[in-house]
Amino acid sequence: MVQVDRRVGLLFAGFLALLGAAGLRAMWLVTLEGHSLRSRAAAQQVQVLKAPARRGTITDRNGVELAVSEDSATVIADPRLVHNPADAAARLAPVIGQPIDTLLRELGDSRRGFVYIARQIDPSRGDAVRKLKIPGVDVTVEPRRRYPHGMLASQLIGAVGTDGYGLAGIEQSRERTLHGVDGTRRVVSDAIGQPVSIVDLKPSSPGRDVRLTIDSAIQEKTESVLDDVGRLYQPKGATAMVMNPRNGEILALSNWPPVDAQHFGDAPAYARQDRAVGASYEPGSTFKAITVSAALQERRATPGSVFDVPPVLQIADRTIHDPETHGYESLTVAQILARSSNIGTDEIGLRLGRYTFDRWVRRFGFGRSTHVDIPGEAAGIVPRPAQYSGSSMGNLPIGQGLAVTPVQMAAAYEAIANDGVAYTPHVIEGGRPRPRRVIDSGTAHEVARMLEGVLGPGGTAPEAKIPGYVLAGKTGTAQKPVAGGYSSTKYVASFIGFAPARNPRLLVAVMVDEPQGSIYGGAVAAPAFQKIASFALPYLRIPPG
Amino acid sequence: MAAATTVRPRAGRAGRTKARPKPPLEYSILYTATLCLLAAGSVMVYSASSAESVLKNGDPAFYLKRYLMFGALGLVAMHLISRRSLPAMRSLTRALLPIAFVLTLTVKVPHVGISVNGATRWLGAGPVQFEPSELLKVALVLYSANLLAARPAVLGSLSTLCRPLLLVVGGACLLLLAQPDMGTAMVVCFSTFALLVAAGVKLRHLGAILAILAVLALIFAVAEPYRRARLLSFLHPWNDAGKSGFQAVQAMIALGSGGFFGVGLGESVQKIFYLPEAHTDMILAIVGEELGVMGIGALAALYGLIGYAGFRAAQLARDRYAKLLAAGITALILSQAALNFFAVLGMAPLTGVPLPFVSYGSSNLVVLLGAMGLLLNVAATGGAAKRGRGRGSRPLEAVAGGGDERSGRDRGRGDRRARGARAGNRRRAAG
Repeated sequence: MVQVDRRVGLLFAGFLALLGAAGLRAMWLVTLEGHSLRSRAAAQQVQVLKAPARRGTITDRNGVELAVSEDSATVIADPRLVHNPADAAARLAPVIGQPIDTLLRELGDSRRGFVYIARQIDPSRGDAVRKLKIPGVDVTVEPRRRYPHGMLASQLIGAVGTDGYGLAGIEQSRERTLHGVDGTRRVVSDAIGQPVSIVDLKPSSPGRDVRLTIDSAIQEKTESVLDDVGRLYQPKGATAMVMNPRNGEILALSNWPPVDAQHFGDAPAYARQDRAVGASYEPGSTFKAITVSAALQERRATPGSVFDVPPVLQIADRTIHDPETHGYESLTVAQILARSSNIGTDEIGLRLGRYTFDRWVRRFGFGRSTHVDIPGEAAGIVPRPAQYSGSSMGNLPIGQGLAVTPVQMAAAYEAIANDGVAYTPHVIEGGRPRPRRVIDSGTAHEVARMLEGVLGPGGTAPEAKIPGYVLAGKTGTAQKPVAGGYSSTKYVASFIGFAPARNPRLLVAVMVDEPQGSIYGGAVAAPAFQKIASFALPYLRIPPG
Repeated sequence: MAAATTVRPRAGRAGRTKARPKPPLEYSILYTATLCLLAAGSVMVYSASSAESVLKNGDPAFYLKRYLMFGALGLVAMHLISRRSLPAMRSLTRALLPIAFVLTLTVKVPHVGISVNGATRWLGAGPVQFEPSELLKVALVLYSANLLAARPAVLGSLSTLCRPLLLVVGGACLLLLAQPDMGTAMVVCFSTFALLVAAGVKLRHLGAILAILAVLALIFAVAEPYRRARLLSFLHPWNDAGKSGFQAVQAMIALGSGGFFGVGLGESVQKIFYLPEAHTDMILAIVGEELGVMGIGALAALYGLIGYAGFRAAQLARDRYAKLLAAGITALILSQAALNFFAVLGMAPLTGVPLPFVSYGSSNLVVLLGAMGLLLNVAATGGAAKRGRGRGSRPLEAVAGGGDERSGRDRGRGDRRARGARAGNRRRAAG
């Protein structure tokens, strides 16, 4: 018995030692290992999340909302907690509008702890999902970008990714203004990602609105006109720009085919591009107004100067033809422009000489950015005089062998329309565009007057008429360069014009890429100009003249 | 606090019979510590399980209700067992081992045993499930205590020790390992070994047994791939924190983030799906996270108190059986507690042993409270006898004790009631 008592004492000491060891181990864990364990706990439990700021609204010049942010519902699920995936999928499918199979695949994957079932859907549908009370399925609030006018100016406005960052267009270039300052919030979550506590560390401050110079009515008209062009001529693409030549404000900017901003990423790259600023093309005849302006400004010609125009003109290895075959003619500069004579324009260009010609091409803004406030602007390609070949002066004056963008072209015509002064084209209101004198106002008036002839009898676009308004403009029909020369089937048909011709208030540039059926600027692009202008002129209350 | 509430009704009843003595100190300590652990258990089971059970069943108190229900059942059992006379209990418990063996074997019958997480340990249907290995654990301790008390001769050599006792315990362990339930097997080994120590087995024999056990355990641990993985993940839990080391790592993260004073009761984050088995085997980690090292220390102190009072009761007990019984049950509770502490603290591989009285685990709770009833029984009677002996009744005690050991079996059957009454009388008279 005494031995038992002693042994029992021994046992007590032994167990006490074990408990003591456990206590020491616990102390060890919280002291020496405490820091690393606590940081591991924080790593898996605590997230400092972004509290997205409310994104600013993009409006047109009259405050019409083009892009707005609103709360949307995002349906998430933890498949591990979904007891009956088949039942859950069957109940969710009609509310979310997704096939049961797709939902079942997501909900049935019990290895995953988090899946998105539907992102950024209507709050009303989110409420409906909430009412289903399916265990493991949750609805959260997520800001979503909406474009109330659908595809209106979608390439210009661009798009926002699901994470709330602008991906293209104004959404991207004005990201810093629109985005605001995201806040931070500390979220402690359980192992399946459900928040246990949420504390706002820093509140978010909403983004500021951006007001565009775009007029949504003109924009809508422009898009419907391009839609007609698209249906009629099945082109690869079409671009139109409407501008106020008095201050460089872009009133409409449209690209066909349109893109759905909600599914921006799904569209092909060509459709996503804002080709008004991003596409370089050989302008062809619309460029002749630049050559003529330079010659007038350099006093190498006057509108009445007469040029002897032969049936063909040989410049180095190149034979220049006119659109319509003719014999030996004597044409004034105005006639050369009205009929769009290649040979005549080359003769004018040759009078300038390559260096003077190049100086004026660059002065009009070609070969460099116009500093338009739209992202993705291309500089175009203008060869240096040193790079000219023998035939370059046969190509360049008539708009071949160089590449320009529609906005460069519009800016150059802006100078002609606005007494020789060009304002930087812009779509965002509130800036102070800088005027730049390109040519004398006298020269500008002379060229503008000559451009009226293009729409008159004997011009290349005689049908484009708007009752009561005198129009001025220039057609362009350019073969597209292909490997080893120029394509005989692919053309760019374009028209740039302004109205009223004597007091220009509206400038419209239309470019149609690879039209089918008809290829001529006068037939394809000029009617589009006419339709846009005949809507915009009375809409803007521009008096006839 | 709990002691006061416990003692009062007894005092009240004593008042009725006029001469009810104050219970011995060991009895009070054991009772108090058990109730404290149960109180801590109900709070912690609710804290650790409510978040998960509200998500799964919609009822945050699902596990709390069951814990309280089985706790109440266990307390009733404890109370009844503590009040019966010890020899009566001794004869009753004799049948326990065969029953426990049969039930444990039944688990192995296909379609009868219920499997959870790959282990087949349960019997029963629907909400009422019973884990026979828990019963077997206690039955083995009772059997060993009885055997070592009744036949002290077996202590003489290893072979006599082996023939009945170690073979039975070894067989039981094999049965447990087949479930597989390594944790319970380890608890059985520890408490049997403790009993052998208490019974006075020669030290070199103990050493030999220990060596054999160690070799067997090692072979066993390495033989099964999942056990090898557990062993390796115990040694280097962070190497595979995502899979095999997951539970150990999450337990340590819980403890570490608790610090000295914890993050506050109910504030644990680890309990929400991070830490598996948070309300059962891993409840200590949640105690550590919410109440810090202070909480763990308090629990360790309560087990220390049970150890002190239990072993003290063994020393004070009037006969060899009572001594061994008290020592065995105390060792059973403490080895289970220590194994759980070690596993949660990353000092032993995870074996899945609930924390006595605190963890949710219906069978374990009821069975251990029943065992505590036996311990209380010894603490109450033994203490009184000792005090009686202090007044000069020592020879009588020695004779009575000896007689008990020699002819317990014959007398146990016949006059259970008389002996019970006599014991009761003596208890009363001793005061």
